Amino acid sequence: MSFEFTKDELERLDDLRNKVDDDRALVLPALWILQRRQGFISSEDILYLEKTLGIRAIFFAEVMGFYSMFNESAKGKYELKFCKTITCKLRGSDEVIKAAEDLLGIKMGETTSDGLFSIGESECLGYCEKAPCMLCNLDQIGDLTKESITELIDRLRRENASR
Amino acid sequence: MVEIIVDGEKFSVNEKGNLITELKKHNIEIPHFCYHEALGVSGNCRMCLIEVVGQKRPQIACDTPIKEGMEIKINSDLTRAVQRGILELEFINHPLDCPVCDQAGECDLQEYYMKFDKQDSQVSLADKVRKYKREDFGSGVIHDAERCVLCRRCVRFTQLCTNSYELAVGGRGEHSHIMLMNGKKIDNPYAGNIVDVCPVGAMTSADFRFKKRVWHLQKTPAICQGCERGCAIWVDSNKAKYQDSIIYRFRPRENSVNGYFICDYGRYSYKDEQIIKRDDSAKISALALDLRSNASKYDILVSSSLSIEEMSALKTLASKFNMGLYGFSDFRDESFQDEIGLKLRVPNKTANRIGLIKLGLDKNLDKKSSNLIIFHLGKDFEFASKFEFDNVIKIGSNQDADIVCASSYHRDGHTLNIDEKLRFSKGVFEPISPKICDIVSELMGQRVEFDINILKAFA
Ligand code: SF4
Ligand code: SF4
Ligand code: FES
Ligand code: FES
Repeated sequence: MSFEFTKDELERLDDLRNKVDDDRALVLPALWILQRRQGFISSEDILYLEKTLGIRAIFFAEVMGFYSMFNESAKGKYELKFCKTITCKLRGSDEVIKAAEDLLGIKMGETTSDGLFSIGESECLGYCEKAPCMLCNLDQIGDLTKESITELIDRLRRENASR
Repeated sequence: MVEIIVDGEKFSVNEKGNLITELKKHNIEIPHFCYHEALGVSGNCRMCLIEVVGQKRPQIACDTPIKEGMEIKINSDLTRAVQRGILELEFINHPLDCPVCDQAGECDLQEYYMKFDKQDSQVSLADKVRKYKREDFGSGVIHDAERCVLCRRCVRFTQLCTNSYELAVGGRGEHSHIMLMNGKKIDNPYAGNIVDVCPVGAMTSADFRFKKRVWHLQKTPAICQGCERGCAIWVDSNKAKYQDSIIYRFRPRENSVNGYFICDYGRYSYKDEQIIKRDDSAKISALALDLRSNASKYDILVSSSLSIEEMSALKTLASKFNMGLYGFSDFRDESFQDEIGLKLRVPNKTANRIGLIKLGLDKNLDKKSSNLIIFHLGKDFEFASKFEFDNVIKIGSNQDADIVCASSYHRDGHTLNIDEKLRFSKGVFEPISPKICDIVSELMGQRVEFDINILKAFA
């Protein structure tokens, strides 16, 4: 089934449209609504956005390519996005990422076969004081170590197995 | 106008203008990539950073307002240092393939490197980010993502000039690249300009690629004869040893009529303007002989593709032999007019319809004698089939002609464009075939001289 905005979502976007002088200001909010609900944004979805909002598809595509937070295809239930920027790198993010890859048996950009985890990269999360850090869905998690990432993954696995 | 100081010297510039453009008028060049007179300021490349006295940090010249008395230093140590810095960044992932790049010789990046940089890259070739080297973007545009400096000129051209929005920047940081939306190719009648606006070799022309190194090209200012706009162009040609001259490409020439651009129809019309090797001198002599005794059985038809000089020569010829003289200018192609975008293209696909009218030659062919001589420059003689005569002699610059003459790019000539502006096109090289004025002279048995006062009336 393809994505459609609810009446309420459309109203919110219209409200916003009245407040800005360039319609392209709607690009980010529209993408967010879509991704929060569906988890990813396909190229058909972009065409739907163009049709519904009257903003050229290529503007959505540009923004999608710029921000690593937007997914082009479905991701796992838990999406881990590791910061790859310099502070985190200096504080050992490579090691943490390697640990996550080993634990999950997948590489960066991939999803586990049970659909539980995806791992990927992100630019600086503005959380350098707690480097190395990452996002787990919308939660920011800092001071990562090999141990803490192992513990997190184990816990999420247990929680999902018990149900 | 206000006075500013550049490296200690005073210059008078327009304060509403752009610093880069204003200084260009004084032959002072500030290196830049993203700023373009037709596309405006974007401020993304930073190549134009210069020292502005009184400012703590270097400023981008393209977006620094001009103020009375301001002082800038474009050759100072500080300016040089930032230029080297920017160039070092540009070359981090550059593939350094100038030897096989068509842009070499007219590439801004290459020029700035030789002028300001000349340092070795700190990134080894193996560590560079690799990207697509040959992507067919459609409409004769080939993209090499590795050479791109991401100035966005191409993107802005499709947004501001053609309103076609085919291009955008995808990705981020070192992975940024120019992309098409869902692979949908460029589709607009001005696409060739994308290659011209690109300051480097990231956009090359499928047509011109690998044909000729640009430093071997001789450039001649001319006027496109593709339609009534009369866009100013550069004709780039070359004559290899023991070979005939060849025209390699047409490029836009900055001008008040067409701004910075030309249409693709005009751009690629050079292909129909090459030298045709055929010796029709015997036919010309035969015709001259026949005219001497039987001129009255001939009528002359002039198409609106001829120059004012050629038209008036034919007027002289017709009156000397008392022949009927008619004009034909119906080369309209409605689909040629643009609804949106640059709107340069005018539906009449010959250059001198207005000239034809002004010289009083717009007379339709009504009476029929048995012989018709048609003069026409340009690619096809199709319209000639309209005229049912026992004998039609076609004199023109293409293969269908009975007598081949020099094309509009192989002789000097004036035309009047749609807005009645007088346009002068210079012959690119000496033709092999005779020019129309030479043919007319031979037919008359004496040299026709052009009365320069005719042009004064239009200037
Ligand atoms: S392809 Fe050329 S014009 Fe387009 S962004 Fe790259 S360098 Fe600039
Ligand atoms: S608009 Fe007309 S004159 Fe200008 S380039 Fe095109 S065909 Fe030639
Ligand atoms: S570098 Fe990772 S949060 Fe800033
Ligand atoms: S030309 Fe000034 S920033 Fe690009």
